[in-house]
Amino acid sequence: MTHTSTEAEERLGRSPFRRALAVTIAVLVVLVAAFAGLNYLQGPKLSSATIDASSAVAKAGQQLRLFANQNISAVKKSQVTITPAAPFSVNSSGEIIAVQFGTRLSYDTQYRVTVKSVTSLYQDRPQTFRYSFTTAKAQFYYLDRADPTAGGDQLDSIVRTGLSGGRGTVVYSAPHIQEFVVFPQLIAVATLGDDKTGSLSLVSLSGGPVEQVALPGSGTIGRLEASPDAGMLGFLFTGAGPSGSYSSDLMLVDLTGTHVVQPVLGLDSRPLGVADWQFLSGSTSFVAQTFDQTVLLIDAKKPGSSVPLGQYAELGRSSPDGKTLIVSDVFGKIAYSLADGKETRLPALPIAGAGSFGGDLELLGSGNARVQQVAVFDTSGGNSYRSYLVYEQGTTSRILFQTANGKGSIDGFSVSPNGQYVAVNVVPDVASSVSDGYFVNPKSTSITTVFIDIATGNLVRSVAGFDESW
Amino acid sequence: MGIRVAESRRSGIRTPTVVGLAVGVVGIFAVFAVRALTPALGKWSLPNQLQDLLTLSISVIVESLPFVILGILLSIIVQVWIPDRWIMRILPANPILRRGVISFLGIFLPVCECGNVPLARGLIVKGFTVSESMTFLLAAPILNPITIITTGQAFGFDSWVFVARLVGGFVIANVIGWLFSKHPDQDSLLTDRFAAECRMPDPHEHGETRWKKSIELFTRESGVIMPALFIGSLVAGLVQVAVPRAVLLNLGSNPVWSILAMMVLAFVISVCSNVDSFFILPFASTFMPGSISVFLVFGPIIDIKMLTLMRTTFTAKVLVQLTVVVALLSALIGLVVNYVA
Repeated sequence: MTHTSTEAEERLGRSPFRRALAVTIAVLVVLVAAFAGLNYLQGPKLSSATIDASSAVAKAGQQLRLFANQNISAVKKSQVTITPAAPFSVNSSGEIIAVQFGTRLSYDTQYRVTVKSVTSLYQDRPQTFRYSFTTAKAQFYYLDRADPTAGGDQLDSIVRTGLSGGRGTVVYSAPHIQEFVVFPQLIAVATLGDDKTGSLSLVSLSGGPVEQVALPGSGTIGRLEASPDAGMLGFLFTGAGPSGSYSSDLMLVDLTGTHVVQPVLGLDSRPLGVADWQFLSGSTSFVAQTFDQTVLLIDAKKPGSSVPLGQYAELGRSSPDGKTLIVSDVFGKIAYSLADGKETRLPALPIAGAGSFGGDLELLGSGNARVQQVAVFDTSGGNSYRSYLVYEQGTTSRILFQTANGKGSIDGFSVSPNGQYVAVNVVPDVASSVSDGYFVNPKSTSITTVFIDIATGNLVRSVAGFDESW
Repeated sequence: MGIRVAESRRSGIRTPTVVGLAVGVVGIFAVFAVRALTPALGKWSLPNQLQDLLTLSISVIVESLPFVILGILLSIIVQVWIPDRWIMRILPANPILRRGVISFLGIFLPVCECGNVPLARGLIVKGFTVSESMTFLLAAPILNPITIITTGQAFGFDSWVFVARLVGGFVIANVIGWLFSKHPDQDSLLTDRFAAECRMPDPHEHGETRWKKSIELFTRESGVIMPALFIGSLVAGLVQVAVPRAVLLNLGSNPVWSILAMMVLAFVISVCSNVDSFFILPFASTFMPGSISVFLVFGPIIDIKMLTLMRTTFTAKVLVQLTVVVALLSALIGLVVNYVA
C-alpha cells in the first residue's frame, strides 16, 4: 500500500472510479426523483386493519380500526359503507379510521367495509379503502347429563360445540354436575356430592389442573352466575343441616384475585340472603332480589354501594348492554331503566288473535325487541295451555318455537350474545318425562336444546342437553 | 511521518499524559469539594439549553463508549492474535463474493457503528483493501445479531421496516464497496496519518511480544478514536439543542418529506444501531414505514458522530462522496418502501 503513481497516472487511473461514481449518482438521482413522484401521485393506502372478530359478535361498540400508511384528512360517515348493513359511527385521527359498530355483529359473516375518497393531509389524491373480515363462528357449551337408568359410574359432561353440527368436544366430565358458567380461560363447575352438598371447581380450558374453590362450609350451591368480562363469579350458598350458618346467601369470588369466596354483606353487615340475582352485562355490578321482594343494585367492587330499586314480584333478566332490567309486578313485565328509573310496560302480545300470558323474556338490544316465552289457552285440547317462544317488537309478534302437538314444555331459553340465535330447552313429552333426580337443579332426562335463528325462525341445531352457555 | 509518530508512542506513557490525567482527577475532586463545602449557596443549576446539551452529548458517549472499547479490543484481536491466513483464507477470491461475505462479518463481530471504526481500521492493517473495509464498516452495524434482534423485536420480523433495513444495509455496503473498489489508488482514500500507520513495520516481527503490541494498539487507537467520539457527541448534542425536533416531526406523514426529515433526524441524533430501533419505535405511528427504514439504514452509516469517527481514517473528499451515495441509496430504499408498503 504505497503511493507510487504520478499525478498523470492518478488522473488517468481515477477516471473509472469517477465515471462509476458519476453514473451511480446520476442513476440514483433519477430513481429517487421517479419514486418521489410516484409517492406523491399515489395518495394514501390502507396498510393494515384490526378488529376482534370474537368480541364483535359478543358486544356492541366494537371497533374496526383501519390504518392508512400516512396521515389522512378527516373521514365522514357518508364516506363509509358496510355490507351487510350494520349501524356504525366513524372517527378518524392521524392515520387511523375507527369504525365503531353500534350493535353486535352476526356470527360467521363476512363484512365488507368501504371508505371512499380518502385523501392525505398533504395531497388531494382520493383513494378508496376496502377491507373485509369474517366474524367468529357461534360456539357454545352445554351440559350433557348421564342417563341415571344406565347404571354404573356414568359421568356428566360439559361439551363445547358450534351451530354447524358435529359431536363437539367434551371439556370436562364429572359425576353429578349441577350447573356451570364459562369464562374465557376456564369454566366454573358446581357439582353435587353423594351427601347432597355442593362443591365448586375451576377447570382450565387449556388443560391445566382443576382448582377446588373452598366454600364457606358444607352446603349447597345455587344460581351460579358469571361476569366473564369482570372476572367475577357468584352463587347462592345454603349451609347444610339445621345448624347451617348460611341461608341462600349471596357469595362472590373474584377470579382476578385470590379466588376466595366472600359473602355479600347487607346493610346490617350480615351476609345478604337473596331469592334471585344476576350480574349486569360486562360489569362488576349485579342486581339481587331479597326475600321481601326488594330489588337491589350493588357494585361488587364498592362495599356498601347497595341501591334499592323498588319492590317487584319477580326479578327478570337484564338487557345485553346492562342498562335495562326486566322486573314483574302483578300486571306483567316491566322494562326498568337503571339510568333513570323509568318503567316501561311490556305487555305480552296476542298469538294468532288469542290472548297470551307473558313469561320469561329477554331483551335483544337497547330497544324493546325481545324474545319471550308465552302461554296461550288451548281451546282445542281441553283446559290446558300451550307454550310458545315468540319474537316481539312494537305491536307485532312472531312465533319462534312451539312444542310438537302441544305435549312438550319449554323449560327455559337463552339468547346468543349477539341476539342472532335463541337456544330453547325443551322437554318433548311432559307426560312421559323422567327426572334425573338431582337434589339441586333436577332436569328431565329427555331434555333437549334446540337453536333457532331469530331472524328467520329456522331451527339450525339441536343437542341432547341443557344449560347452554354462549 | 507515520514512523516518527509510532516511535514517539512506542516510548511508553508520556509524562504530559500523566500530568493531564492528574489535573483532570484533581479538577473533578475540586468541583465536588467546592459543591460540598458551599451548601449555603443554595440551588444552582446550568441554563436549560446547556443542561440539554450536556445530557444529550453524554448520553451519546455513554451509549457508544462500551462499543467503542469492544471495537478496539476486537480490532486488537484481529490485528495481533488472529493469524492473517485465518481471515484471508475463508474469504472468496472473487471480489463481489468476497465483499458479500465481508458484509456478514458483523455477525461474528457484533459491535455498533462507532466500535466498527477501529475494527475496520484493524482490518485494513490486516490486509483488507480500503473498499472491503468500507463494506464491512457499512454493513456490520446493521447485519449483526444485536441489531437484527432489536429491529425484529421492535417492528416485527415480518415487517417492511425489518426487511428494508437488512436488505438495505447489505445493498448499500456492497454498492459502496463496489464503487470504491474501482478506485485505483486505495491508499489515497485514507488520511495521511492512518496510511502511514498502515505502512508501519509489524513490531511482532521485530521481537515485540503480542501483549506489548496489544497495549500499544489500545493506547494508539483510543487516542485517535476517543477524541473523535467526544467531539462528535458534543456536536450531535449541539445540533439537537439548536434544531427543534418538532420541526422534523411535523413532516412525519408526508411520503416524500418524511424521508428527508428522518435522514436529518438520524444524522443529528447519532444514536447507535444497536438501540436505534427502540429509539425510533415511538415515531412509527407518525412516520411512514419507508421513513423509519431510512432512519434505520442511513443513521448507522452517516451521522455526525460517525463522520467524525470516520474522519480519523478516510479523507474528507471520500466522506463527501460516501455521504452523497449513501443518502441517495437510503432515500431510494425509503421511497420504494413507502410506495409498496
